[in-house]
Amino acid sequence: MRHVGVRRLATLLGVAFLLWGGVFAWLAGREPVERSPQPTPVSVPDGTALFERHCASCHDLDEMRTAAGSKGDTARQADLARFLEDHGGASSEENRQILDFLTGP
Amino acid sequence: MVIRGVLWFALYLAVVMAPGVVALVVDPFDTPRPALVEMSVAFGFVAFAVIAAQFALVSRFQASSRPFGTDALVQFHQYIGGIGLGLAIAHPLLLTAAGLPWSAWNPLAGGLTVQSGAIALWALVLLVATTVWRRKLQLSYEAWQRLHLALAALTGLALVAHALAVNGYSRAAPVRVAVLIYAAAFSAVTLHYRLVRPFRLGLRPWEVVTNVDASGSTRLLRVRPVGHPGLRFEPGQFAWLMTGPTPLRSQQHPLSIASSAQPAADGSLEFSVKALGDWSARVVPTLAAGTRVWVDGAFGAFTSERKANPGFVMIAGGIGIAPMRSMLLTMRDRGDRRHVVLFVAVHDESRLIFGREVEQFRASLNLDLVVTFEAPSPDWSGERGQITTEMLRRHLPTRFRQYHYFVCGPPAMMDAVESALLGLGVPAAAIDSERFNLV
Repeated sequence: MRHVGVRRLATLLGVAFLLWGGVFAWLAGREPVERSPQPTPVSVPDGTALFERHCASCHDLDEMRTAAGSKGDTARQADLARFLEDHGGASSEENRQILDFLTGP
Repeated sequence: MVIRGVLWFALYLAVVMAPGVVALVVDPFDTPRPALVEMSVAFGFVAFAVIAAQFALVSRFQASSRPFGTDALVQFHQYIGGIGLGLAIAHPLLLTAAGLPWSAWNPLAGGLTVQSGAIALWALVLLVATTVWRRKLQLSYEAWQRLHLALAALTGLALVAHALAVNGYSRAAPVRVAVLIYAAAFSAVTLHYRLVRPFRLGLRPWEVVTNVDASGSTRLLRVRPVGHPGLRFEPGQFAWLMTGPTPLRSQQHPLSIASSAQPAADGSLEFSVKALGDWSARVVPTLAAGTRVWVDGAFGAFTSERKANPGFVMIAGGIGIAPMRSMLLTMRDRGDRRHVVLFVAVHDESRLIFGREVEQFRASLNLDLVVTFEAPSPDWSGERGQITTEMLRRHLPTRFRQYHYFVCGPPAMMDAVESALLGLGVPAAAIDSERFNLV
């Protein structure tokens, strides 16, 4: 009857992994309480570096530039700004610089 | 054995959870990210570790297979592989819900991060699909083995590239180190399994002594070690029999050892091989005396060894008689006079394996034999049809709840017999079954 136990164990593990996904998201989403204060940056990295750090691993530059449209295309840029706010780990100031970089020359 | 099993399971849990836990501890992000992204990352880490650990589950480590049985480990490998695939699909699916473009699913486009992830995912999908539908796809066992290993290696490599290329949690050095440790550990396991183990087996050759017809489309192969003492095994265990020019380029199949566990003078072993596929029907009959073969074993927890029950009930369907023969021969050689009820179920008289020999066991063992044919000849006066609750009730001894049960045969038969035994009140822990339908 080991096969029945194996099936039950695997099912339990599958459920546990799903729960772990939720626990992980909850723990990762908490503001760090013990983290040492971040030093005030003496210079803000430019949009290129920020794009490389926060976006380039998953998103192609050309694809993102197309999504951003030209400088005056405010509707698309508002959409992209919302996307950046809801997605990825950059701060609002960093998102603004990424947006400038994507709509720039 | 139970404690060992718990310890091995705890180790497995630690292995599959560790990358995610390390990522959480070293969290390199200054600001929280969307929950969907974090959940996706959690599934990604678990899928990575589950898939990496898959290599170890089927690498024939005797220490880890002993407490569970190799067939149970293979079943776990199959179930957990499906769960790993589910998590691997959930990872990009959640990211897509959070804004990742659908183009990221294309393995032929995008940067290293996206492309490696997509390659890993589709290789895994292909790996699971070719396993589940191997027979429908008409893949031979040997072709499937090669394909399975190639796809597993591709999945593993692409996963490691993906985990390192994503500049998320893996930008933290401890996470990168963890990923590299996993890659190194499971590469080592695979190299050991595919190269070191076959090389060592090559130094311990065996040769065929006899290869005779055991009736029922079954060959009885007797092999003996050449230049080494052979192997020790417990009655009911199995070994991989390898045929071909070298262990590296061999066909290998798991077979119950059918001989007594009391060591023979020449260290020889017997395997019974029923003609069920290409290898067993075409290669095995051609193995003449003197042919070089290799034996990798012994494995499995399907054994009467160390069982202190007052008796055993053995239920065999078709070639499932092989491990029972080993247990009965061992009892005979050790003078073990405990009561045994042996049920043998086959389609008709022509498919009965070891029929005459099992009859003769009655003289030296405390054995009750029940043979049932689904389609017997008209003059057959014994049991007919499949093994049912009523048939079991007719032949089980009064103290049947104190006996230990061994069931081996076609999966449908084992399912039916196990249900019948449970219905009669036999404790689940007293029922051992051996399931050899690996894929």
